[in-house]
Amino acid sequence: MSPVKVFGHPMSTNVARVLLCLEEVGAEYELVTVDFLAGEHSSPQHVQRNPFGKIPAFQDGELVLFESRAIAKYILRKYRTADLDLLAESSGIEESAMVDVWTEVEAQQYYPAISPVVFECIIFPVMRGAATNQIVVDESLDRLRGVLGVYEARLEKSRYLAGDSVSFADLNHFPFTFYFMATPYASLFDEFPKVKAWWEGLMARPAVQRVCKNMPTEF
Amino acid sequence: MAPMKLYGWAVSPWMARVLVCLEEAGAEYELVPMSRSGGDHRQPEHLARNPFGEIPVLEDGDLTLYQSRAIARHILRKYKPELLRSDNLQESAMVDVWVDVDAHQLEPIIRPVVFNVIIKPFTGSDCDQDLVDESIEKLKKTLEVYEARLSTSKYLAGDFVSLADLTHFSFMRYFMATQYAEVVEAYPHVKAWWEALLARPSVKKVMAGMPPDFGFGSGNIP
Repeated sequence: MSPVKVFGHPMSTNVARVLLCLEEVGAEYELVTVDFLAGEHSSPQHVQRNPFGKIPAFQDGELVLFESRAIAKYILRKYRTADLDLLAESSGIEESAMVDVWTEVEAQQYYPAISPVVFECIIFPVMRGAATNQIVVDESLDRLRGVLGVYEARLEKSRYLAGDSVSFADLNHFPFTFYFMATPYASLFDEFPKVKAWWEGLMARPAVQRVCKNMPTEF
Repeated sequence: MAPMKLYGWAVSPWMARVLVCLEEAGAEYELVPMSRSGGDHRQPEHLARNPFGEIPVLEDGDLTLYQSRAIARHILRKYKPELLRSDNLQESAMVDVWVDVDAHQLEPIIRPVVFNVIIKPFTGSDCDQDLVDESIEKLKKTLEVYEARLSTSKYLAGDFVSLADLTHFSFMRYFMATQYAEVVEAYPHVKAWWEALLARPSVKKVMAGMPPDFGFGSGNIP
């Protein structure tokens, strides 16, 4: 079986999402660098794999995929075992529904609140030399505080977001939270002890540690 | 077994996304109407169901679910898994790809157009025409990808209809009621795919509860 291929850059949040799932399942893979700072994601060669010209793209034999969450789910299904079912699809209809709920919550509630802080404090300054828009940051932090309040209540009742076992729902939070912790606002998580402990638990996972190695913490 | 309960207002595109899946699945359900203008979704009774204070919410026995795509997947997994292609690794991946394309590429473009062109005039706010114009330019580029896809594939995930197609209906319904529908209709395969969706009995039934002005014109605002 030839290794699967991920096309992207290890610094990219959406690429990191996919790499984390590959590391969690112990799959053999090859990361083919797409130099997005040099505009390689817009090249005809890359657009053939991801018609929206974004990273990551993914290839497994003849199957070519894009959209990081779709890629990640394919990986978690393909390499699923009796002991490792991060989508809980073989557990039961209720368990997999909860994974879906909290996976959507990450995409639709958490990400819109946390990502502007990462964009304003790290990504725009590094990639465009832009100044941080403090109004956007402050509004986002307020929104994030509200979201983390909901997470705190959830994690008081449940060891992980979707239930008592770690799942794709938890892992999805890694990339943007990792970079958020490199902004001046990391201490926001101190206000939410259960959330903070959950985050530290994720960071301690060997697969997370392996992916972190290729993600800068200083800019 | 008690029928499932779906809480919300039928004009909501998030609600309608779920309603289409319920109808496709032929599942028994009860619609529990809520009032948006009355702030029902912010009341403690609803926050106990969905701490994010949003609709739709599905109650299925002991399970309470929110986030429209999570609800949709649950319904199909339970009643019509062929619309997720869960038994086929490659096909289920293609379904997931195009569900996410709608969520992360298309909806973020058409939602502000719908909001500015349809809703704002009724709520007394000014339409942000610059944002609408920018969105239409982005839409054209995105539709080129859809057109290329639908030129070689009958439906988005393959030659089979799936959640990937159904999930597009509800926001597009409103976009296609604006003067910008012609932008979509300029792409022949996208147009044909859209018309095929509109012909589905489930879609016709749900659309009947979705007046193009969200009910503002008739004073029937949820």
